[in-house]
Amino acid sequence: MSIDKLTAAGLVDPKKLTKEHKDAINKLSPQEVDALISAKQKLGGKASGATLHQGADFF
Amino acid sequence: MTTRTGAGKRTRQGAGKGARGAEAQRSRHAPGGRSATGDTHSAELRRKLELVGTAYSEASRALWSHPRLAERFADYLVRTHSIIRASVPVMEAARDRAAELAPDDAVAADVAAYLTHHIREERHHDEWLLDDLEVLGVPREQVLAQMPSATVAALVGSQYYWIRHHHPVALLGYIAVLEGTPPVAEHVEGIIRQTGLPRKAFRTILKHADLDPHHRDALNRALDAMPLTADHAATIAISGFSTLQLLGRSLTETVDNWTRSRSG
Repeated sequence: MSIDKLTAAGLVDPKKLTKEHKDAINKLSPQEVDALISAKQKLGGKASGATLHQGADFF
Repeated sequence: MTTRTGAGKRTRQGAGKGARGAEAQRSRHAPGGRSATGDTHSAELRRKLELVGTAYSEASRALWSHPRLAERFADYLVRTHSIIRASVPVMEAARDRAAELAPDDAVAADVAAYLTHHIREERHHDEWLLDDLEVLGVPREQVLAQMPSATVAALVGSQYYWIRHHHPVALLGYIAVLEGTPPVAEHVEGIIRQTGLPRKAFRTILKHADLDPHHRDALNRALDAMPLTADHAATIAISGFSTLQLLGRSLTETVDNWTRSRSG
């Protein structure tokens, strides 16, 4: 399961994820999982949930 | 491009597949623009991008709460200009490549049509930012003379690579990030009050708070109408993950520069 791989890498906290997000993780292709792990590691690598970014910046 | 149908069967797709036309290809995909999981393509993509959203938000918060924000706000706009100035050119590259593929590739045909419309909506936004920077006393010549960072070059350059050497649908992941999380007007108003900077310097940000939700919704509709395969969806998501990571790195570099220049 992809979620186990991300949890083991310390990049997601399953307790902070909704069922929809857990399902989304487990349906990712292997290449998507690798890209997700890479992105999260390069952004600090903390175990987190999933949120829509909202702020004052453009992106 | 090798693609996987909803049933998991792999097929060849894209340029060079002979007489199979875009309409014939379209008919092999599930109607209604839904992924193999039954979600709309746009909903599936948003959910994937949210998996990186928390980490990106931390980088963003570090910038907006930085004690030197008012003093160095122009740096943020210069960095943003270096990204936005590339929006129309990179979309034109994707539209042109998609148009080449379109006769034999239904997704490329849809990408070309979407970008043809969206390019018109994004023209001259870089000029707005130059105007905002002039309000802060930064001449446009000074902005244009600065070499953009390697991170910004990687952010935009990776899109050119995927457009040319993989599939132009990749750019939709980039656009989904850039326009999928519009500035929140209330937050921007808070920053204006907090920094005491002229409101006119925030004109481009405030305009995007108004425009981007419409652009995001238009992209969602376009995605949902496309006959995307699982491989197309993965290409878009991987492009989006990379975009979030590089945007986040760019924010972090800006904050690190502010912090270093204070301690130095």
